[in-house]
Amino acid sequence: MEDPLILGGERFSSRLLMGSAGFPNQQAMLDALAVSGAEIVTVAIRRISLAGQREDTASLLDGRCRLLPNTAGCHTARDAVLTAQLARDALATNWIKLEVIGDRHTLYPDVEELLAAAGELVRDGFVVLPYCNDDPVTCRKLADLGCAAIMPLAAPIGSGMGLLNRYNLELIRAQTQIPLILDAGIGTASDAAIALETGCDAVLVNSAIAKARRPVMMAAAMRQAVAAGRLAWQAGRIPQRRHAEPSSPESGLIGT
Amino acid sequence: MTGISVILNGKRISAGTDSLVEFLAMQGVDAARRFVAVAVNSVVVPRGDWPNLRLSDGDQIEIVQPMKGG
Repeated sequence: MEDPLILGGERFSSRLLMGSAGFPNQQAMLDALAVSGAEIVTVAIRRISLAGQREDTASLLDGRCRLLPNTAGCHTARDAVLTAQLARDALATNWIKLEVIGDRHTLYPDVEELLAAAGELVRDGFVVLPYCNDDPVTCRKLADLGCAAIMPLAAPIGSGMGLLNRYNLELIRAQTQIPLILDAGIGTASDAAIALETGCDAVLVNSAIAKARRPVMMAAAMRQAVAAGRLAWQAGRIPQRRHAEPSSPESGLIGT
Repeated sequence: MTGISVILNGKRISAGTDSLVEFLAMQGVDAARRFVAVAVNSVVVPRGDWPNLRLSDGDQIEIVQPMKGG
């Protein structure tokens, strides 16, 4: 495998992770997944509906990808830890995307509760992938607690605004040795490319694919963008200058 | 014993049994069903322990499953 993503002790060929929510129908989700090349797909954990239609997301995705449960909707460390433990039993995985939300409008993390939950889950043997704000201090604390990756947001979940603070992401990349996955707020393919060009190891995309006008096409675009961004990062870009630097030779001009 | 009531997924109901496995079956959750997990009083009951667990009056039970999510 060339240039694998090493995450939680495993190797992945894809640097695109996908969410499973918001697709127009199940077939679109499955087709988008196939085209995206994603090997990891997030799912939420919710109370079973005892009346009405049987929920079969996990059965559908089982065998097609690694299921990564999240603690979406949790506002306290206590709820997040219990949700993670339930997810571990339901899906027979110790991987968890940890979300502990502090604000219903922005869905920004409650950092205090997030750190508490991360510490407890790491001690309980989980492979913790925390969704967090783009604050280098929080990211460093999460890494120090033993998380398997850092997943800072580009912009609020579902907002599609793309990377709002490239400066912060560069700071986080420079100080972080563990995998860095940009998660939340990606809007289109170029946002994913920029993330990889900034040195992110991967991106997690849900709404930008699921709610695109043509989700399967956007999944293809994301796959290519992630590949392009990764190559560009490895290729080493030219620096940005404030003045021009001619590319054609300056000697041998006619008329001189 | 069978007169106990429990709080299932936030709603108080009559349990009809003190056996967790029987209770789950009554809710349509077969013991062999995949992708489902149970907590009683905020403690996960691992699938292997389902047959051993006896419910008490007032127990809070959560039955959860994976669903679409980001």
